[in-house]
Amino acid sequence: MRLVKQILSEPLVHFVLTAFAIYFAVGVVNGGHSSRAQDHILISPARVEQLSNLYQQQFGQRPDQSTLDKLLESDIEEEILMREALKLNLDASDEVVRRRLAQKMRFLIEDLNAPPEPGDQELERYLQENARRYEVPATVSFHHVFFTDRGPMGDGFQRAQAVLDEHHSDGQIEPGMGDPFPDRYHYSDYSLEQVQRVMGQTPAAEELLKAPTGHWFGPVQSGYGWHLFYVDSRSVPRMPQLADIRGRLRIDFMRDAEEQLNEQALQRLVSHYQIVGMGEDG
Amino acid sequence: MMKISRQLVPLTLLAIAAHLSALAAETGIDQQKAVLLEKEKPAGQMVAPEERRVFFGELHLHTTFSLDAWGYGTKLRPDAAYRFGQGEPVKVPAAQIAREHGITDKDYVFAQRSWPLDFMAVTDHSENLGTMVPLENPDSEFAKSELGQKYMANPGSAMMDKVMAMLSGTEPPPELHDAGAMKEAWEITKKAANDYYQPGKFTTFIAYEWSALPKGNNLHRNVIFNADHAPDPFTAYDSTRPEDLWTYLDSVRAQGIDVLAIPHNSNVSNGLMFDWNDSDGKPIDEAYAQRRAMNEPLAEIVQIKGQSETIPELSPNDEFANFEIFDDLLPMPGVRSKPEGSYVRDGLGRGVVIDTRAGSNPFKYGMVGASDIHNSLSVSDEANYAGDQFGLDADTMMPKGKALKKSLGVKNVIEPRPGESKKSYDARRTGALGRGSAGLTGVWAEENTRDSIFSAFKRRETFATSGTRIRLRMFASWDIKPTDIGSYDWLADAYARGTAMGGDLPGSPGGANAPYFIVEALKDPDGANLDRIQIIKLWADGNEYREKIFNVALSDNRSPDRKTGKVAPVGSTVNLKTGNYTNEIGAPYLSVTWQDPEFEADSAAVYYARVLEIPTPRWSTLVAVKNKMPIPDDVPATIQERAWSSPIWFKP
Repeated sequence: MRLVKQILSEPLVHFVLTAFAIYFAVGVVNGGHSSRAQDHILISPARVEQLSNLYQQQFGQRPDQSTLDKLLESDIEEEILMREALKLNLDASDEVVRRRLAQKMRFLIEDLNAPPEPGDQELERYLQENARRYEVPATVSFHHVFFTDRGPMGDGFQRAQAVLDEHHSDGQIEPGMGDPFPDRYHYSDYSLEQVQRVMGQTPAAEELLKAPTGHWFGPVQSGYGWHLFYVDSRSVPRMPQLADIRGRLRIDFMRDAEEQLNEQALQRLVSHYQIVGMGEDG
Repeated sequence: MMKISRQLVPLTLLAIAAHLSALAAETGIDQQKAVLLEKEKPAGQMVAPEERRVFFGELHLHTTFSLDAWGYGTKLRPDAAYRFGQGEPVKVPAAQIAREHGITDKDYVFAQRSWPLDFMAVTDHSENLGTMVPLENPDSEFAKSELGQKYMANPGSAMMDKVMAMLSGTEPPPELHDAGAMKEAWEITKKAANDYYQPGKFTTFIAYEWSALPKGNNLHRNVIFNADHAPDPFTAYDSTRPEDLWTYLDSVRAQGIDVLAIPHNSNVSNGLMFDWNDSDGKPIDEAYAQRRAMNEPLAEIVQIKGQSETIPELSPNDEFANFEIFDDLLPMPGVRSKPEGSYVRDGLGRGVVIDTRAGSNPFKYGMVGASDIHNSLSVSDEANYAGDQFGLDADTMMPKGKALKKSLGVKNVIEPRPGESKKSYDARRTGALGRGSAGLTGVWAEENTRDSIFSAFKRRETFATSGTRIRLRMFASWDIKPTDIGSYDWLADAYARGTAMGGDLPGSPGGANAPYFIVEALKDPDGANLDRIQIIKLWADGNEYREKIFNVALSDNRSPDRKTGKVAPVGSTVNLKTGNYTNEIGAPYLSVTWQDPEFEADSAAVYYARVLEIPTPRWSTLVAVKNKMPIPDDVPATIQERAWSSPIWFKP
């Protein structure tokens, strides 16, 4: 909230708000059918120059005087037709024009909203507010022995169970008692996501994160076959230090702040309007 | 010596003129310095090779900074691409989902990758990089110009203008070359790669695509830097000759930045990618071969525009060659690319022939797979793709209406052009349907960092997959006994006494008469079982090469027919009504120690492994089932996903 207050006290924001106020005031006056004494079309030297440049871009040479006259003539006609179209509100009923104008307006309000650089305090607050996103997840360190399913019926479970029965949960169980596993036999400090990337999104991964430490258990099924697991140690989720993730936090903060400011700018416009639902009898 | 070279290199740098032509003359010396630089800092030196882990990544992706991607409707930039790649939800704006997926009833949707990648490179086209971005600002000169208005009304026309200019050898409109816009886009690209690099967790590479397309023949290469900074990109406007790209790469290395180039879509190169000759039509000589092998250690063998391994016409004895074939020249639907010289297997074979003849092998390619997706959303799962150029979140972005029908190639959805031949119309009609879902790159590396993964690229300890997370590794050795692979610490032995994939098998130490190959493959933990491991051998025979496929490991107790060597198909569990399959057939893990029964010590040879999964539904089948549409009959309903190992070479 302090951020919002700070923004509202910015002179630039006042300027923009005033600009919008004028914009809408003018819009109301022009949009109404008040009669105007005389419509003027002002042809500025800049407009003439612009038309000449466009012509040059297209045909590779400056227009001569008679060409320029024709260009001006059709430009004026276009201007008149456009103004008449606006009087008839044709712009509002044309989907392309409507979308284009909306896009321009959106660009206009978004462009004016560059968020200020955050200090450590703001980043710290942002970190707290988005704790879940930056939390260092719980991890587990574990050994395992792998048993593949051989034969049409699959014997991995039975062989794993036999090894566990023979050596008991507090016995010495070695990888060589099972089948070769084409990854590691010991994993240190793996998060649930990391375990899932090795074992698949199977019950094995979630069981590991919950299992008590210090004894063998299983057989548990992974995406490959059956495992006996032994958890050495585990860690609980913790919040990272600001210093460790400042760079990343700043990027996310700025992106969020920009989106928020854009949304606020839009909402300020929205607040000028009353949305009326039209019922069946309306 | 080392210390001196470290100080000298930056000084040399200052002296080097920015122009490539000036650098070319110095290449010889600079290359030596680059090698010295490299030796000072070997990545992961403290970790034993058997501790290398597999990392999966994407090395080919486009964002709104690519002219063609902008034309398709893409709005997302490299930062969003990296966020999506590392598994964060990304907000896809309305304009993009409306144009690309036909979803018009939403302001935006959230898209999230089904699992995070380990590494990634955004590779926007360096030509006209980011030059459409000024159109996003309605007050820019470009947006106010007639040309800008035309492009905004018809976004695809910018690409048309570019391609027409390229094909006719003229310059595209100057707005597409706005130096300021290109500079800004390149800065944003580099910053995004650095912002989202999280050593140990998610590796990014600064990269771009050099998009040479002489006469419509694809010679594209992705350029990948191993640094947090990079010079301005080389473009196809600078040159369409790969030799000139290598001169640029040499100059980059001379600046102390390691870099490599990865050719892709050789399948549509019209025979140019692995031609016997150089760009001037002269037979490849030793100097060319060495430069090419050093600058291009990897080739992209699979992506959404088909696989580039081989096709039945080139490999009539390969019963699995008919897989995701895409061979119409890119700018000319219906015009076929010449097969000879267009496929990696052919290139590997030609390479050993040239090696025998010229003394060095130009086509010493390891394998990578990628997406080449053009909407910033890199996906690889079959279920997260619906054809065309776009990745999607299957829950929020499944195409609707006409876009859905277009992706399934439904007839009369796109209009035939007046007087268009049936062949051309069908090629356009099935343009989205004919694409395969994206591939992936697997690397064996010590840790998830730029240095470690880039080193794996350079020693080619990589493999490609058609999109699933199969793990594959191969070793060759003269003295590994067949029993060794069963032991639980065999890997240390394999590294110590053998050659890992991507490497050269040294000559026989005497006694042994044929090398052993050790291959192991593990299924995707969330995917389908494995059907078989094959070893593909190519060897020099005079001015030609020969190829043979050995089925070396088979699931379900099958064995090759004694007479024909053929193997019974693994079968299929795919239910075409539900789009489901089961792992009742196949094996989760296959391994083998195989000795080449036809080894000839006096001919150069190259071997690589291919692993096939059991059949699973193709993306088009999944999309059809999900939307209760008929399964298209223009493409197979099921596919056998696969992985290709990097090769191991033998030279007498």
